Amino acid sequence: MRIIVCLDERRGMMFNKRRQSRDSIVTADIVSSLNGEKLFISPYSEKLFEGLDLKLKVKDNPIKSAKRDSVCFIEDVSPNEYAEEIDSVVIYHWNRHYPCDFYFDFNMEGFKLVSSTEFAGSSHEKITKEIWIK
Amino acid sequence: MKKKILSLLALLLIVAMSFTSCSLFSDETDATGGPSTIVINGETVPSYTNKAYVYLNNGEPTFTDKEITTKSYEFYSELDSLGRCGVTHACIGVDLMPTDDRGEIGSVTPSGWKYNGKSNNNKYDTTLVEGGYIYNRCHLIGFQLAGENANEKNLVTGTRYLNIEGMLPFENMIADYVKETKNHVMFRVTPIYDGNNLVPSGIHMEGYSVEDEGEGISFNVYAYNVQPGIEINYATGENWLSGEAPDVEQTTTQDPNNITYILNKNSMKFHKDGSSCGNSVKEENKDTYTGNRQDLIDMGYSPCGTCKP
Repeated sequence: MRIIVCLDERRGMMFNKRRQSRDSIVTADIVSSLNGEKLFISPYSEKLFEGLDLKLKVKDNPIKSAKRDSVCFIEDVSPNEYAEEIDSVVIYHWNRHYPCDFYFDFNMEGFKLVSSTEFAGSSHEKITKEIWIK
Repeated sequence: MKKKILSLLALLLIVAMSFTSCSLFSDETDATGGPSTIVINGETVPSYTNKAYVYLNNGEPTFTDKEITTKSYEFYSELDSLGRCGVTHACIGVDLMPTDDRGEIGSVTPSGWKYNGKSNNNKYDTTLVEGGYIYNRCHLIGFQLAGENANEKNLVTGTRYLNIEGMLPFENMIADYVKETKNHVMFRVTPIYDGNNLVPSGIHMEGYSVEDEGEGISFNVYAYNVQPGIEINYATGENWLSGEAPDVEQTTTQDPNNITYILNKNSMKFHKDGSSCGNSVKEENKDTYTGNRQDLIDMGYSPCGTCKP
C-alpha cells in the first residue's frame, strides 16, 4: 500500500482538528501521480479534492479499508496500526513550521529514499516531495 | 454625511473590539515578577511545562458576529503609561500582506528591553538559545501578515522561544492559508502583563477564517514568554541562567514606596533619578520626589517616554 502525507518541519499533520496547510499544486500533483488509480481518503479530506478528476473512495478509516496495492492519502488518521501493509510512503514537506497537535509518527525504519524533488507551490515557496520505498 | 456616520461606526466598533479581547489578573506574583496564576476570560492558564502554547476555551476563538468582517483592517492599541503594547487585532487579507522585504526594527525599544539604561538582551550559549540572544522584538501581528515594521505599538519584548516556537507557527499557518484561499482571517493578539511588569508573561492569540466559518483556521491559544533554561524577572526584563543566582545588583529589589524620581514641575513629567533626561531638567523647574510611583501619577505627573521610570 502506498500512503501519501503532507508534513511540516516537525512532522506535524493537524492542529485543532484541521489540516496545517494546503496547496493546490500539491493536490494536483497527487491526482496526476495516481494514473487512474483510486484514492482512499477519510471524509475530512473529501473537500480538498472537490471538482478534480479522480476516483475517490471515502472511508472513515481509509487505511483499514484499502487493499494492499491501493493508494491512501491520510491527514487525520494514524497509519501505525497497519504498518505491515505499507510499502511506500510519499511525503510532501511544506518546509514550514506550523502549530501542531497530531504528528506523523510512523516508523520509517527499513524504508529507503528513492526520490526527492523540489517545486514551488501556489502558496508555498518550496515544497519537497519525497518517495520512500520498503 | 453617510460616509462620516460609517466612519464613526467603524471607529466605535474598533474601540469596542479593543475591550472585548481578554482580561488578566494574577492573585499573587512570584519572586521574579512571573505570575503564579494567569486568568484569561475566566479560564486559568496552566503553568508552563514543555509546550510552547496551550489551548484556551478548548481552542475555540471568541470573536463575536459584530467583530467578524471580510474587510481587511489592522488595529494597534496606544502604548500605556508604562510604554507597553495592548491588544492588536486585524482582518488579514491578501491586500494587507507585504510586498516588500522586512525592514529594520532595531530602532524600537519595547518595554522591558532595557532596564536602568542597560540592555536586558543577554547572550547565552546557542545550545540554550537559538541565535544566542534571549530576546526578540516580537511582532504581535506578524510582519508577513500585515507588513508592519518598526511600529512600537506592535512590538513586545519576547524570548526567542516565544517568537519561534510560540508565535511564528501561527503566523505561518495564517499567511499560507490566506495566500492559498484568498480568504480572510480574523486575528487578535493580546500581550498579557502581570500588574506593572514590563515584560509580558505570554501572548494570547485567537484566529478565525471568515469565508469558510472557521473550517480552515480556528484557534484560541496562550503562548508562554519563557526561555527554557533561563529565568526572567518579568518586572524588569532582567534574566539569568536557571539555578545561577543573579548578580546582587539584579536581585536588589527597590522598595516601591521609596524610589527617588526627578520631577519637571513645568512639563509635569517625571524621570529616573540619574537619567540624562532627568539631569537636563532646568534647575528652576526641577524637584525631587521620593515615594510611590503611582502617587506621583495621581498627583498629575506622567512618566517620561525616554527613560521610562
